[in-house]
Amino acid sequence: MIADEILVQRYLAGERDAFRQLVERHTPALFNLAFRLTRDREEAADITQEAFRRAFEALPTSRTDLPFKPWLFQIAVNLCRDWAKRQRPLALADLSRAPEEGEEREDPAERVPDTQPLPIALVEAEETRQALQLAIEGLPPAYRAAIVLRYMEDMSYQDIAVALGLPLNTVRTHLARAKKALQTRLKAELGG
Amino acid sequence: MRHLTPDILDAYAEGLLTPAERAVADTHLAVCDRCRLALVSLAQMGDLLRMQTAVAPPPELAATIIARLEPTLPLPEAAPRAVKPNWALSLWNGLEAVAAWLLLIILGGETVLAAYRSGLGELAALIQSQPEILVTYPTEAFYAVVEALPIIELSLTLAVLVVAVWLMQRFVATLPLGSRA
Ligand SMILES: [Zn+2]
Repeated sequence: MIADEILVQRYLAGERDAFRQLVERHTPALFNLAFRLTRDREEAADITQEAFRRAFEALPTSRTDLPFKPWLFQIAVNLCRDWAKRQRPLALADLSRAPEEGEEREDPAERVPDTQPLPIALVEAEETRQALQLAIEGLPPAYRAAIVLRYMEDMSYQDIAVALGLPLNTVRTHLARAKKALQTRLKAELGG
Repeated sequence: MRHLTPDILDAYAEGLLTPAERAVADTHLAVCDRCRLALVSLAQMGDLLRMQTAVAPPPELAATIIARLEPTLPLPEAAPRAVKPNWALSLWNGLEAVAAWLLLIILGGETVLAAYRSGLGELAALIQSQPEILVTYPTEAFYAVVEALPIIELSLTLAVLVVAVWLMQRFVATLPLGSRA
């Protein structure tokens, strides 16, 4: 597979096919992220298109020595933030802000002190997959975005920091807390 | 006992610790059931998350985006496609170039002959036998040479030389050498 950055160079040299390849390659991931953050298929499709439009319009005047994918995702994440603001202008819990300690403790499930692994039988069950899906949807958006980028897009913590516009340490904390929250929610859901 | 922080545990589960950090963590894990269980459960959660499937976009989304955005792209003009080889044109240009070079040879010969007819040869022989003339009468020697030059023939030859070089370059440019598909 030709690297994104090579395709970007070819696009800048006037090769339209490089543009098509980049769109085809990243549409599924951008859509998945946008859908996870908006829970709206049409919004997700619009955000995907708009992210590509902004990216390809900006490329001729952007630094092209940086990795393409985290930058593209950063544009999409910002579009999701704008969307969230339009949806609920007064809501505080959006992507720009991590939940505070106090808020997290609101969730009774998170008071469980020790996290025990799930029994093997449960790990393999379809029921678990669906319960986890629900648990992900229940996460604060900032955690949800980090989880999607890490586990569905296989991005490094460094790239996630770029995509979310957050310091690396914050990404580490987000992911650690998100997984702990998922674990406790999943257990509550499965009655484990 | 100081337990491992959630960040350290997560980094361990993700395989992101340096060997030194890992060694420190292992020392604690060897004696702490609670941290060991938390680590297993984090690793398990990572595996479960990797098994989650992405939500697929509508099937034509990529094609729709390409169709909508492509006409508006701020693309530079692509490198010009190689011209299809045009053998007739190449042949014609080649003949023109050959004719020009033949004319150049004829004119060149004519110029040399004209130079000798006008006494340039005798002048050259004189200067060769008595080179001090150039020092004693530099201006006169210069005018004598200029007068002996066949100006018309020489100008024509130079003009044809320029045309011949230009025609040859044009011919080489139309050659379908290394033509790309
Ligand atoms: Zn411990």
